Amino acid sequence: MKKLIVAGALLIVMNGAFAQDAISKFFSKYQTDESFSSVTVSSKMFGLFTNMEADTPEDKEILEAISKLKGLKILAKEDARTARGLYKEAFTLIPIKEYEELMAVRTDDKDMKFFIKETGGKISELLMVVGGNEQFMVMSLFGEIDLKQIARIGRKMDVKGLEHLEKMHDGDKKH
Amino acid sequence: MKYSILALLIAVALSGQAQSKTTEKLHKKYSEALSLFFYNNTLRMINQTDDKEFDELIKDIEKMKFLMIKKEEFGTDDYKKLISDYKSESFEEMMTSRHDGKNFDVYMKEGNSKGMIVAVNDSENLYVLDIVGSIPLNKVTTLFKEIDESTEIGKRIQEFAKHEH
Repeated sequence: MKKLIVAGALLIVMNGAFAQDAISKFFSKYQTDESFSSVTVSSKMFGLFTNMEADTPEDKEILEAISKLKGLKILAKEDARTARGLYKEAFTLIPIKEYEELMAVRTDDKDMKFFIKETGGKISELLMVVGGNEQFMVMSLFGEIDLKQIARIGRKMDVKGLEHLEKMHDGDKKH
Repeated sequence: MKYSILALLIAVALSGQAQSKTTEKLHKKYSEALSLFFYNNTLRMINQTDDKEFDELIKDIEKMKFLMIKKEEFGTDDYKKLISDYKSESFEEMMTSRHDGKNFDVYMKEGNSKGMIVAVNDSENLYVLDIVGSIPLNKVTTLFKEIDESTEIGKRIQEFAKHEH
């Protein structure tokens, strides 16, 4: 019996250790680099949204979706010289094989790629990588993700790039 | 007269929660630092323009303390220790960010004694805002904007105070 418990505990710990987001390696490398901007939001912050009151059913859906998020990490740099190089580097450091490409958007001044990771039939991570002439950004949103709601939030908060997700439906994926 | 003293005593007695120990320790250590202290009523008094949004923001703030410490006396290791002290007081990390050489970290404590710590760190100063009480989530961005502006004001007050003496 004891062996089972120990094995079970080990499994849980190991799962916890591997349930890292894509951006962790990249983050560890550049976290202390002052030329990068970064934002980290914890699950505690998202959890607070469950206590908020919603004015409309649409808002209620959004609040519920937010409360299921476990974290958000953003790393960005505004520098003409290194942006494109960083974009390429991101794809070497991020375990892209574990992710499925959802969408790629190319505009005059930047390339944007969206990836998702599925665990147990649900989307557990949304990854956005942007490389432009002057800007580089990588964003990882993880937890239990509802793409439709994330797109709505992106639109409401005017987060450039996320509005493209509204064109996606949970069922559509690039193969 | 008697009633107003009584009212004041009751108000003080009811405002049970104290500022965080870590903040108090910090203030004691850097007693020369600029420090501002506000009770809920003081905050309401500041709201001269009857700004409804500001009222909403401060309504659950019991009291708050603002400290501004010069970086020459306070290093990275001191900052790390400060954060771990707050964490041992059950403050949990909500958000950390860095942009343009400025660090902006938010910690929060739930439960019986609600509190929030906002620590802003730039090349010259460390600013700590210790709030006893809570802030409605949708007002948090307003607060952050105010703090950003107030760090400018904090610097100006300090310079003004220097001239006075």
